[in-house]
Amino acid sequence: MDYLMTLGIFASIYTILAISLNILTGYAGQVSLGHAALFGVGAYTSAALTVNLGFNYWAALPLSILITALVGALIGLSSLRAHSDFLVLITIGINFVVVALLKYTPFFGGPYGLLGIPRPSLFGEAMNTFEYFWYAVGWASFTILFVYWMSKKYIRTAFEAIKEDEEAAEAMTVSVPRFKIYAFAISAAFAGLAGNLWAHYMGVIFPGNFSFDTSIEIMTMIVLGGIGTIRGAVFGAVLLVFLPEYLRFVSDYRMLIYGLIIVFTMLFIPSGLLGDNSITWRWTRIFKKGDRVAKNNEN
Amino acid sequence: MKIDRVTKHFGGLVAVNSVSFDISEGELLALVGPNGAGKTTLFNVITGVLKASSGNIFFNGKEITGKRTNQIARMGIGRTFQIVRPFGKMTVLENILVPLGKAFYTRLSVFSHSPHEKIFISKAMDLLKSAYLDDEANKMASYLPIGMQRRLEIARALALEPKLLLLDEPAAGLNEKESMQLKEYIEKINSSGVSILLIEHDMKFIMSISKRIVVLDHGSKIAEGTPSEIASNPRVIEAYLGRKHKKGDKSA
Repeated sequence: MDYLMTLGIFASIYTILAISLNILTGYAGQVSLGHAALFGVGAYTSAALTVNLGFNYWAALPLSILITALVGALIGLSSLRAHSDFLVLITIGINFVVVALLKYTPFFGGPYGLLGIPRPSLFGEAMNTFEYFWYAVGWASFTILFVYWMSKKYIRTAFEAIKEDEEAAEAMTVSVPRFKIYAFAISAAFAGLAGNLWAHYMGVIFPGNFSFDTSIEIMTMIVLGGIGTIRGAVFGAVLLVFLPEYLRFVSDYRMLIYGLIIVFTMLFIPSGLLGDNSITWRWTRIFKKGDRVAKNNEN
Repeated sequence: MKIDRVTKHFGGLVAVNSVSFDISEGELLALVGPNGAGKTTLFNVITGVLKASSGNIFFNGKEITGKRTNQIARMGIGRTFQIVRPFGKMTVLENILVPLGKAFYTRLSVFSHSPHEKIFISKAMDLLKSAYLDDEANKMASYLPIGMQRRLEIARALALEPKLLLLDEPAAGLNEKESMQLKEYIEKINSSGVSILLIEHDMKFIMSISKRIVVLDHGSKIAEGTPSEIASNPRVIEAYLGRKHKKGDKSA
């Protein structure tokens, strides 16, 4: 049972990560292959605050989110100068730099990581796995609801506009720098939350947890599920957390399979399994009433 | 709007050379000139996409030189692009909803207001109706034929409620019927009080629509006047009409 609960916690954390990357890449069109760096910043900030500086978990939680959002905004500054393919390279570079910094900084425990990260306590007692499961599910649900709500507001419209055409967006009064930084900061805030949840569940973190491989893993989730949709991010995250646990060969060839998923999705179903224009999603809509074309165009 | 000795050079190439002219309120002014005369560069300088090397631009008495594109747009200058740039993966309606959010993009209310609010939808539908695009509202913008995409771009710029509209070759690539429809639409906009600065190559189109014309050649202003003055101006004929006539190509 604990094992299933643990998988549920991982699925919740990766759901938050996938949704947060989806804000940046799916909504605002800023492709990042270094998302794990922000995951790591959140985890390490919270761990260092509680372990090294003696902060209470409930103080470390908002701080780790805030600090990760600030780091995200700083990374966002680089997107103002570099576009698309160059930005991808920059984010990969940032991922390696962050992992290296964690590895070589004694304050962060170096290659041995940080140990003894406390579980948050509820009414004076540390959460057990069962409680933590609901805690993580709660945060994942909050993330889904918040991003769903945000996706109906003008902020999403601004993101879509800069994704489609920066020059036209500017001509329509949408400030490209402002909304790129918003996208990076909001996305990073949720990645920071995921990092916090990860660190305080595992109790021990290593720089290797947040390497480029993890960034690829998150990207695979949203690509497979369908870039630009919340349902796709959730589906991709849950599927790729549970699949390796039930199909042993998947976990043995993890990176190979992620690579293949990206290649085949991009070639044959570029909008993912549940993307707005994917065959699979439209097929599920056949059974629904109403104008399918209008629906597909709406989101 | 007042353009005062605006110069733009790229390295050694002078694309716009000390050009000055005014547009008065409610006027429709055409900017013409052969390819490479610097018309689009001047548009990009006015809208803040490019920085002027020297010179000043005033709009409504305020200097706009050096301001960012989104600020200039917010002050009331709408534009279209030479090569159409609708938001292709949005629907026609959604394209119009983008500029309707202009009051929110500088504030935190960008998180609280939704483009699906009734007032925005009905405003957008009105704009689409006047652009004869209301039947296409739910189509993906990139699926529209070029004539409709041009009208969509104009409607999108109008959603900013601009005082001045910059149109970059709106008639390029249109057939006779589309061109007539466009002319009607532009005249309707102009008569509603919006000033228009129009770049166009199609001389027939220009002569029929504008009362005043500014001619650029190699980045410099070589003439300014009414259509009939321009048509008989020897410098203009030499730089533009004459050469084209010899080749028998009136529309290029």
